[in-house]
Amino acid sequence: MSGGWPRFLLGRLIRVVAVCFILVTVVFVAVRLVPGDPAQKAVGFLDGTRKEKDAAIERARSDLNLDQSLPRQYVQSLVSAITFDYGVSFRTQESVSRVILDRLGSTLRLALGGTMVVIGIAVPLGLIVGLSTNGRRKGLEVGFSGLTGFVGSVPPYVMATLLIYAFVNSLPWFPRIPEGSVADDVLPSLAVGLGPALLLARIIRLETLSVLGQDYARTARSKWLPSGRVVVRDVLPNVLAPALTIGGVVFASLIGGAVVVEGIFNRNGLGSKLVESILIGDFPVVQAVALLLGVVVVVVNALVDVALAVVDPRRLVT
Amino acid sequence: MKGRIRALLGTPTGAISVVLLLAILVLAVIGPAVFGDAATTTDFLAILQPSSSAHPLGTDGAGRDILARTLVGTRLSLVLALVAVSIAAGIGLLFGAALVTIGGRTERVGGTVIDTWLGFPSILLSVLIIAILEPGAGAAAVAIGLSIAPFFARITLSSAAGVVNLDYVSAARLLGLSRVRIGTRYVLGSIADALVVAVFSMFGQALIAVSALSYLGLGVPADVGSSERYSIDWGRMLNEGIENFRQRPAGALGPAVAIAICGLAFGWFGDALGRTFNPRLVVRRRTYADISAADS
Repeated sequence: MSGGWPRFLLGRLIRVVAVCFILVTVVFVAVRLVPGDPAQKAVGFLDGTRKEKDAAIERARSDLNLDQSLPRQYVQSLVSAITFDYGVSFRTQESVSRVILDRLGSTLRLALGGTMVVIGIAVPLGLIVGLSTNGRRKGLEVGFSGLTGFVGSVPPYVMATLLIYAFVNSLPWFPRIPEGSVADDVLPSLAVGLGPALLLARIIRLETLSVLGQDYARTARSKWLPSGRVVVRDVLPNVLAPALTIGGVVFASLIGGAVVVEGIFNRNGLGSKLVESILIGDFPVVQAVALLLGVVVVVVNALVDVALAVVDPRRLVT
Repeated sequence: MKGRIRALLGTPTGAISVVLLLAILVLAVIGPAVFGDAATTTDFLAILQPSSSAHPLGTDGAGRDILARTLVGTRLSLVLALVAVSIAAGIGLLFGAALVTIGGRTERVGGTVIDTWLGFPSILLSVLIIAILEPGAGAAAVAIGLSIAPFFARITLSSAAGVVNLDYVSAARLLGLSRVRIGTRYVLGSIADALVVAVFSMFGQALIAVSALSYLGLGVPADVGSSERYSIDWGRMLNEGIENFRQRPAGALGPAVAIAICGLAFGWFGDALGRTFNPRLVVRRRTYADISAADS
């Protein structure tokens, strides 16, 4: 097994680097497929005389390396990716890293909040319902499946609308205007987390039932070992795998994928920034944000793989 | 056949989904003709009205009836989802089938590509694609189609992998049939049920995703004029409704609930269909659909 870990980690590392390389290439090609001259768009936000504009276009061209040959541009984009230097935003003239840093806090809070909702609701709920429906309480089982299937299928942005209607409009539990406190993150986190949480709870219930049906769990219980110990030692490690996997997927997808929910709650996150920049053709920002979001997805997936291998060393083989 | 229909309608969710789907289809066909006038008549003396007997869900910012607009929006929302799913299924099937036919290392590398593609939030991918295609209803459908195509490629690859080593396929190979013929006649024939189930399950997801793009202003444009009754979709309505959400939540709740109902109906129908075709399929497929549901 000691030989397994270095090999495993190296394999994951190579995969991360390979996918990041592909990402840079895809983003490079995608930006060049966009119709129109990026440099023209860059100066679209400026006022001034014809001459000033022409000078600005030239400057934008050299900033974007558009005046060089394609292979050189590609090498340049690899260098930019490694140093994460994407120049300045066309619109605000701020540095791209500044723009991203400004948005990162809000995005991370939502992603963390959403993941906490997913794990915090799914694991206890799935465990409790699983332990108490083990061959008994048919009604609870049917009610649980129906409710989780129903709520779990509501898309996050619809959930957001319903939550605002319920807890801001009807019951004034949350303020209409964000106050800058943790309370602002509660409804958005619930909106993005509730659906995946309930679907994960279903998986965890099934996992719990399958562990309880194993011979060793039956033996432990037939020997009247305290059921708490069976849960902690046998059930929990087994439900950890789906919880980590789905938690990781939710976290990664929320870094950039919560665009609509961000819009509904008036949050300024990375996803909204990406959409906004695409609409106005702010290429330095589009390139940087797209790449960053892609890298987050790849890295989080790799970390989940490693965490899964820690929990279950059998995974080292694959 | 009779047994299958009974299996389809036998579960509560299956029966409900069939009834809902029929209602949705009828609405999509007759909606614009029946409610089109009410949905497009502006009345600036009656903007943002609360619900009344004349306007059960109230009126929007231009005094148009929200209920009528929601009902009329069924058609465009469904059509866009249909285009997206057709593109996704077409590309995914071709890609997956090509990989299975070639086999060997290409198949393994292709599998990794599909998994990476699947790992990306589909909304993100489609936003990038729209940047290339320029925003519009067609672009939104194509973008969603491309971003959920790997799902179909994965299903094709996985189900075909289970079939290609079965005896009757080996027998066909020994008889000297060409790879293409084995692929279409034998392999495709036996994974068709899995694909049909996936089409219905993904239809709801596609509808949700296309509406999300319209909501973001990347899909159906705010169109006025004679063809307006054919250019109402739920995503766009949701966007307009959110603006006045604090005073009149119905403007956003109408399309939001419609999207949720459609997503549910298609999802449940896909599940029920899966149970009738192959009871074992359900467990495996759900996990994929669940995860991809998390990212819009």
